[in-house]
Amino acid sequence: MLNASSRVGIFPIIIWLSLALAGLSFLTMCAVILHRAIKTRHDHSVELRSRTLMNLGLECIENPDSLPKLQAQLQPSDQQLLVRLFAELLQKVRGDYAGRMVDFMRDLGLRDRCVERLRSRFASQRAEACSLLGVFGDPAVLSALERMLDDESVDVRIEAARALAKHGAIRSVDQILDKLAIGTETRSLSALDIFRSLNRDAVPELIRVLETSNREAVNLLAVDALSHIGDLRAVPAMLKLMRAPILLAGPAAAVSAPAKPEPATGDMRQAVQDSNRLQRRALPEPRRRRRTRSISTNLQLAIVQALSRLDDPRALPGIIAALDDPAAEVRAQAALCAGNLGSIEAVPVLEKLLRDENWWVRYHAAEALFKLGESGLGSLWAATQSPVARTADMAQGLLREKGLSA
Amino acid sequence: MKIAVEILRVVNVLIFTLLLLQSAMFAWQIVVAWFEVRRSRVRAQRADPFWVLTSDITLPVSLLVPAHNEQATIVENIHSMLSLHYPEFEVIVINDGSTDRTLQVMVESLGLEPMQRVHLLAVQCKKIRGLYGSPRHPRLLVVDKENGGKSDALNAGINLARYPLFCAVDADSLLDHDSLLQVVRPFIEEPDRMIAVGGRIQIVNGCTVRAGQVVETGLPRQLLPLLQTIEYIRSFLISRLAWSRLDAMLIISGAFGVFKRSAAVAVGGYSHNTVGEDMEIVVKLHRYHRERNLPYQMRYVPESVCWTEAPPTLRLLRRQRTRWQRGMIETISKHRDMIFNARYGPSGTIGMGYFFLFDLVGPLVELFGYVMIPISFLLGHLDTNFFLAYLMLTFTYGIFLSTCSLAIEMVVTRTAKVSDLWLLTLVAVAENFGYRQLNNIWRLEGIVRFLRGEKGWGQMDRSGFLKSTVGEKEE
Repeated sequence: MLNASSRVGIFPIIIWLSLALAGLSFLTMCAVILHRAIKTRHDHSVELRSRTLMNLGLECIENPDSLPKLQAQLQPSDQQLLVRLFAELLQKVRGDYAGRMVDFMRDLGLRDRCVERLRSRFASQRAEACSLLGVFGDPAVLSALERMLDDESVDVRIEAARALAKHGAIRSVDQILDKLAIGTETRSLSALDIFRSLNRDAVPELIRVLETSNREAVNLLAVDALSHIGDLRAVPAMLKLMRAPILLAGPAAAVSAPAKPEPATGDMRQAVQDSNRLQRRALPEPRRRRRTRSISTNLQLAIVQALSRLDDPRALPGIIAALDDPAAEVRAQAALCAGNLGSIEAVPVLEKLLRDENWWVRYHAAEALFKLGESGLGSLWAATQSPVARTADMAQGLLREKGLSA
Repeated sequence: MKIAVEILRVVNVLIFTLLLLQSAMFAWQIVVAWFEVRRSRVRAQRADPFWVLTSDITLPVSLLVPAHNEQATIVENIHSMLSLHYPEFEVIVINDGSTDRTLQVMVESLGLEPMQRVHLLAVQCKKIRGLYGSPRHPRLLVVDKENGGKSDALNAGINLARYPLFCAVDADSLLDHDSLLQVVRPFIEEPDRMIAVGGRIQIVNGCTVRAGQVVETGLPRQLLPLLQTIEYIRSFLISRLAWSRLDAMLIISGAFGVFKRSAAVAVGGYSHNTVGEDMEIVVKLHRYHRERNLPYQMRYVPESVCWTEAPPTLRLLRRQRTRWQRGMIETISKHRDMIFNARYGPSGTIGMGYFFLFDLVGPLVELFGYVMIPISFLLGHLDTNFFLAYLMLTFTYGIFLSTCSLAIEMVVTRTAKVSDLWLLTLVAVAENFGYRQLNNIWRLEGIVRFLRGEKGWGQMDRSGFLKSTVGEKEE
């Protein structure tokens, strides 16, 4: 067999191929090292040039009269460097100074340079150009960005949409949902950022989307955006979606500043599901809940979170209804929100939830009761004496965690 | 006699065939890794850490730091972790029944006070003796528990973690300021499917460390850590890049990996009685999701760096490598039904198949070949071409792979000095003569220790991250 292989030339091929590859790799390494040596020198000179340009640029921003002096010193390769330097710096400054910096960039022709780069054959360069153009609000730039919404790369479309949203220049929510292919091409959380930065003019359209769309990804985005925009017109639509009752003659629904959202304590949905799975072995009989589900648990969770963020008293019946939801993750989220809303009306239901079979529900109910002041605290103290071990354990544990010995 | 010669020839051909297969596999890995590194660079360039830091879409992370007898480095490392750039995170240090002054050092240096945190025993762990917090460091929680091993300590951390993601970090490792931002990026890009992401492990020996941060990178000045530098590039960087792209990644280093907490809980957390818990949990995650047809993804992010001290002596290196081998065999043996099993997708066919063939059987065959093939040649049972082809595949092709890996690494790390590159090229050649063979002997030893039913971790002596250059102190 060996001789046969040898005769057909397999071994000589391997020998020469290995030698050729080793030689090739040696040459490659030499080329890499040479390239690195050249690049190191180049990087060093770029660094020095960056410092000079940054100093000159900052001087120009302080004193626009010195712009001609800078322009006289500019070399062809400096424009790209200036774009990068000032785009980076611009993210870290705010107010009047940021405005002056944008004017400076425009005067130097950096905006036009970015517009040119929108035609690059590399998607990453087009996306970067879109991102950079987000600092300029000129009509010409905005129309160029709008054109980029038809780009073949979803990354470019996302950056274009983000830049447009920054200037409140998104014409139609439907158009953006369509261009970004939400839920199919775009699954990234970065889409949230775009929709959150929409202004109040977009609210009616977002509400309409919520009422008519049957795509979960789109509805999740709309709910999140509405809660971050902080427009209370969204509350009835959200309650309708979760089929919850609404207080028609509630306290004055003054447009309050949206409450700071509570950071999610755990991946609620998954964590609660896992916990349920474990608990079911011990508790074979599931609890009966009174409502039937019509929307997904994900959307239900998002709505409860959004209602909590909107901080509208009209949402209270919805939150209280969610405390009795068939899905444990929704009950846990609703308990967290009830605590944030400071709704004392929720105390009796929260007390009941201290007996819930799910650990996360009990934990958030206990946390909420603690936040609800005297009446909630009273319920917690009472629960420490509960004959149900898990209820007493949770109440005692939480009180100890808060520094109150139980 | 004739039969014996014939058997010898068949064995030689089998050895050669496996070597050829391995060479082809490595070449394929290099190609796949090249494409992945390019894709990863584009992603990394787009994800501006400042934007991620200031936007509120990042997911909160619990850093889990198991510590067993780490009194030399623990406080400096906690400070380093507390100063990470990330919007919302907590650091949970789990003192796993240390017999030295690890807990006391933390209490004294960080102003720890006893505290309580209600928690769910979602995964199995040994008794927790106490919890400590510090008014000076509200993000820090120290857990004091009975000794149960690294898996047990991580499980205790999972139970106490309250954020949706947790990041397992070794107590003797250092993270770059933006490592956490980089490693969490895939969870932002694919929030529903991403369940685990691994970061890159780099050797800190020879680097300058100040205030728990690597301020200047450099190559180790000792031979062994220098050889390991190339090995980390060839074996870890390249293979993980390739497997990540092919959805067959089976190892996320225990020194630095981020997991969706709920996914880890669903598979019962880290398994006890294994020294390869980092590989085992990843394999369990693949198994769990494949068996239930659940969509999932795991990814490797080479731009996210964790610095770790490489063993500077043969004794420590041997202990580490035999332990790694044992851990790998434990996992392969526990999940042997996944090997080449199409039901488990690329993780079974490519991932487990590769580990079985090239990390378990491969080193044995290679060692066997070092003895058999020269003997057969000397006895005149092999022709010269066969013998030369064998030598070429073993050594020359090995040099090709090492240097190609190094060239790809240069795309990821763009700050290496020219003098370092020359040195690394030399080492890439040198590692094929002696170091590779030594590693195979240790792998064989690992297999023997596994077969003898040996358990436990052994001791890793830490010199501590010095203020200047790390890990150059000889024992």
